[in-house]
Amino acid sequence: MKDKEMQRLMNDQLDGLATPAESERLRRELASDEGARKEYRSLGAVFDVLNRAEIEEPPPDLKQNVMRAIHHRVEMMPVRKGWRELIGAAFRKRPAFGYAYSFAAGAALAVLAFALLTGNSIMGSGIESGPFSGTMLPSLGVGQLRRIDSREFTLRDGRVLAEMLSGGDRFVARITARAPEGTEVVVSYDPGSWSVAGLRQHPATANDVMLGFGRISVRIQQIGESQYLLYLARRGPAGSPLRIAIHSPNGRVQGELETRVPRPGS
Amino acid sequence: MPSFRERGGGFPDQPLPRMFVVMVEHEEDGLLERCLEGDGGAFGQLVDRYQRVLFNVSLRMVGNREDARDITQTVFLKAYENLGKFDRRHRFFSWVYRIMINETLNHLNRARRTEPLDETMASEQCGPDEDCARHRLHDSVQSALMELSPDYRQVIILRHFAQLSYQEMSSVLEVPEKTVKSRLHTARQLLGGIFSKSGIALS
Repeated sequence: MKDKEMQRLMNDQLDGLATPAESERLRRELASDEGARKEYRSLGAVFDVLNRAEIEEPPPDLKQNVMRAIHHRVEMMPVRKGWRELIGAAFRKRPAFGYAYSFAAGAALAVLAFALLTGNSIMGSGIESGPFSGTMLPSLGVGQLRRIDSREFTLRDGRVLAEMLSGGDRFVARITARAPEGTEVVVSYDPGSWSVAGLRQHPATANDVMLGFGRISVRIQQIGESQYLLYLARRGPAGSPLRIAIHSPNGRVQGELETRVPRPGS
Repeated sequence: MPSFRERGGGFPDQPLPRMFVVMVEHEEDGLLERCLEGDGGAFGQLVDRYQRVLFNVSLRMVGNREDARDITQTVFLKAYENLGKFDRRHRFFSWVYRIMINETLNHLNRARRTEPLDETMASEQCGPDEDCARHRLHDSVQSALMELSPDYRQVIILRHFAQLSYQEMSSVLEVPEKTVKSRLHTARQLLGGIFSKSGIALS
């Protein structure tokens, strides 16, 4: 028997893949060939050692880490990537529009800069955008809004107050934060129940505001109090809560804001 | 898994038992469909299914639990992000394995450039004698594997630790079955030499 064929038979036999006829053939070969018997014994010993080595269990937090990272990326992706790619791709399909694309991008940046400097970035329609200060809500009128729920989060070096306000069919989440640099305030909601109609900050700050799918986050970059008004439009059944999570350099706190409007008299 | 000796000395007559379920195609198609529709829970089920095999492959390739965990996590994230590019005519495991092996080889290259491979799998503390012997065997096998080139190490790991069939190995390694067998034979011979040299008890 050729060496190659002998090797195949030995490996198949040890792997449990040899047919009865092949096993018999190997048995005959081994009986008559001392060198082959030695090689087979040596190969069998390697199998033995490898089979005795144990399979390890993966760390218990592996799946949790993966799912947490996926959850985070999915929520941030649509706004951070999607719209820019869509607009860019639409313009890039026609090279003649290259300059128009640059102009449009520049104009958009200018509008965004203006909005941030003036503290106004209303994205939806039907919501007025007058200036405001302190805890006063603009245009909608304080009298038109009442507080449904609130949560105060005390941090080591600051505090964050989250309030849910409602007036008629309008809902506004108001976040007032005085927190150390690097703190991230995340408001998340069920995108099937809510959509964001507008966002307003006061005063204009260098804080990073990121709007994602089902969440908005503010990363504090500037010391001092800042306030954010998140104008929400209801898309689904009433009562879906908002979740607030604050990741500060000293830890993480979280809570929920009720959004169900209490019945009159209750 | 029963040892070679426990399986009847020289002539085992059953295929190796499968410890990892890695190819359940019909069910997997449904899960992939749901993942592409944005169902994170479906991807969680794929993680459940493959984390053990991928972690073990990675662990045996790099020899360090922490690195193996990081690599496995990165692989799942990359798979999720690129799921839209996955060609459904191929097997999911083959695709994810390619991602895994690229990550692992990149890691080994980086490690080679920066520092010699440590022996973090070495068990410094042993309990009872039986535990100690098991740990020693574990460490010795790992050290021996690390002496093989990545190509040979891969085939040993896929066959003996991930327990893939030759056909599955051919699919994930993208080489003919014949090449898998010949590479496996050479790798086993090399391991035999390393075991003998390092005094690992060969029965």
